[in-house]
Amino acid sequence: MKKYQIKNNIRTLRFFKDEMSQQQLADEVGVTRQTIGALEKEKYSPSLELAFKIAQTFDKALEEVFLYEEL
Amino acid sequence: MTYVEKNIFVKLISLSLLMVYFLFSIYFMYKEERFNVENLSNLWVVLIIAAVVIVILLTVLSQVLPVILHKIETGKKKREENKIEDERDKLIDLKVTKISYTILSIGVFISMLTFTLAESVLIMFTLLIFFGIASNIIGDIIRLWLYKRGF
Repeated sequence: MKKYQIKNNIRTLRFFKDEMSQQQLADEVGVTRQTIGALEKEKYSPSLELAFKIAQTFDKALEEVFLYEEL
Repeated sequence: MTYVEKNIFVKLISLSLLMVYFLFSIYFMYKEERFNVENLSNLWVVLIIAAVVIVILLTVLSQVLPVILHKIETGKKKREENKIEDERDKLIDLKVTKISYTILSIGVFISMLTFTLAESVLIMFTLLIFFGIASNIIGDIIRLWLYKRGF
């Protein structure tokens, strides 16, 4: 069976949004800075709600922020 | 070290100290032939009081003291650490609770089995305390690991 992983472009998107800090994004979506850090390192897969909130913050579609790729 | 990790670490140290104290007490009770219901119930009371005192002391040392020292050194108030609990914290909490309860359930089962086979209330209660503390220690180690490694 094929294995998949959720990847994301949060780090890049933060950079292009006036170099937004992890803390700013965390405050915006209502999580801790550590959770944003874990997301960027792909150590944690967010809930659907959090994924939508992050995508909304960057004014992007969900699939532009999160990618479901084969390992 | 983050606020959450600091809290887990404090709890882990407290529980480890309690476990060491508990094991030493049992060992000496057994060695000096004082292993009876009265001494064991006294130990139970001492453990509960010690747990409260140790947690308070370590919390003061790890949370309050650094803030006071920072204020004395710099004259400025330390930046408030983020204390909100988000979905990742809740998920980790859920996983740890599940593992802790599984260990505790196995412990209770073993204790009851000992009671049935050896018919010793003393061993049963000793094992109950042991598995109670052990399940929390293992739970906190896993919690710390999940925070560090992610999942």
